[in-house]
Amino acid sequence: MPSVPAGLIGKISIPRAEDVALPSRPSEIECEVIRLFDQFRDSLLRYVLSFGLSVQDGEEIIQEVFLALFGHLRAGKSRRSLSGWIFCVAHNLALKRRHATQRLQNEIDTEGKLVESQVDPSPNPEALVLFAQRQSRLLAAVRALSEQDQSCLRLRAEGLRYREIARILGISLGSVARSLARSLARLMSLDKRWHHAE
Amino acid sequence: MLNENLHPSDQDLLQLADGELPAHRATQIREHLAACWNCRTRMAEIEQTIGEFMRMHRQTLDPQLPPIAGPRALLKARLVELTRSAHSDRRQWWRFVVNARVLALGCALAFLVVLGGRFLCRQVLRPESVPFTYTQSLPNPNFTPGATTAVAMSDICSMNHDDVVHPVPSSLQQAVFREYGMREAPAANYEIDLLISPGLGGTEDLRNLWPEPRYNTVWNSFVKDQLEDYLHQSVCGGKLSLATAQQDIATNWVSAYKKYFHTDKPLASDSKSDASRASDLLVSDLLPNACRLGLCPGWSLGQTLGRKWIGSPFLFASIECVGGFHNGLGFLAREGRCLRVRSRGSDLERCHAATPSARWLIRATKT
Repeated sequence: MPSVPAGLIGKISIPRAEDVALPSRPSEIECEVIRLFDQFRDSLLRYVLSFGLSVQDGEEIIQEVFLALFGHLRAGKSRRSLSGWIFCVAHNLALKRRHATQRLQNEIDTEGKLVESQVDPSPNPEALVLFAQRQSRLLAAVRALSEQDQSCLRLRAEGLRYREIARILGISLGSVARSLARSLARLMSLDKRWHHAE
Repeated sequence: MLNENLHPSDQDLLQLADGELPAHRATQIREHLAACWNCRTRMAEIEQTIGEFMRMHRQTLDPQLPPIAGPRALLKARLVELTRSAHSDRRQWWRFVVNARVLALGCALAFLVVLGGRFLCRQVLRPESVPFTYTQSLPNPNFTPGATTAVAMSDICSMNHDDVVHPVPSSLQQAVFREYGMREAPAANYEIDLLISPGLGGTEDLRNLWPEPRYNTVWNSFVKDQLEDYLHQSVCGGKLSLATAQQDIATNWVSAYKKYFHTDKPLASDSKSDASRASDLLVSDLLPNACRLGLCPGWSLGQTLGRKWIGSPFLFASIECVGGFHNGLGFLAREGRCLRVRSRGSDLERCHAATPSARWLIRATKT
């Protein structure tokens, strides 16, 4: 292959990776925020997405939460129940974002995705379809719950205790307990109906 | 003691399972459960329903979760920027205090020596000039912190960096100008650039776009293109993690350039500072053999050549097919947002057809 005159082509000397200087050492608070990000990011994103927000909006909210956390810790404010604090900020931001963008949850699409995304170890195609249908019905039942009941259920699913849930949603401890019991009763009755139909 | 016939409610059972009952009440219910098969069955049903819900909850949402590496790198970059701006604010505060003291002194002098004093006071009060061009080289982190999307290494590394670059839609460009309060700015002087380039997983999102000057500063869009190319190659060559590349370019791309190229000034030969020079680009690997002079279906030369060539001040560019038995010469014509190859006669086409392995050389003259 003929060569092209070397002078015509801009040359860039590329340094070796080991020559590249390391970035400056992050502060203790930065490290703590990143550690908490690693710990809670997936849970938070799941919770935020359950508001019907897009993944991109969800990611941006999570970023805002942890930037706020950085400010919170840097200002020397309370470190008590940081998980509750993080979810509380995420909850409020998600509500605000949903209100601002007017993006309502597209139940049909998500349910469609659910059916496609099911992973069942069973090799039996019939069992696979049954499993997907059952999960879709369960999702529909959850969506039929009041927003507060859904939030209680999803926050509990992400490992928050009743006291933290009460603080995030601004309701009493008893209300949390009643909400969870009520939601599970609904899901159980659906499950029984499902078994009966089978 | 709980009566054996007085069964606990579902709420009691759930609270017991969740460890949310007072100790004495929990003990009572446990004793009841030990004696009551009916309530034990209900308890098992509750647990089973929780299990079903958890599976559904995870399986609905988990597939949507992008990998954590990109957002984590972005957060780190933002934290670094926050820390730095806090330090800089502190420094500016001290500068203000110092200036205030000097001001007081200057004004006292002014009081004593009226004319000379007033002059001195004005001099001391004059704000420190900020290098305008440098500031514009970096985006405002509040408007443009950078945004990424989940990408597979195989996706970004399967193509050249420029292949994934597309012109930003004009509506989005206008939104960026509006955000930066630059309604009146001459658009041709800026490239609406992605802070984290698409080849590094950056998205065409308002948070990742800013008006990057083409001129007025040595740290211009052409220089940044070099860094983007280098980081893309390093990431795909396994020399650098994607997260680090995203973090470095989002935090301060000028510093990243200096760090990776070991230089305090741009190495670019096609920076605007060399505006009088002709700029040449070897594109041997970019033109597919099947291409017929810009008429390839679904393929546009303008896109392949990248942003550097789109909307840039090149009014004339030639394209040569070098090697083989023929040499051909054509030129690049701007058509809308794309540059298309036109041939003078059929020389270029013949050259390419006869020698598919021949290299293409594009020579553009900056005007």
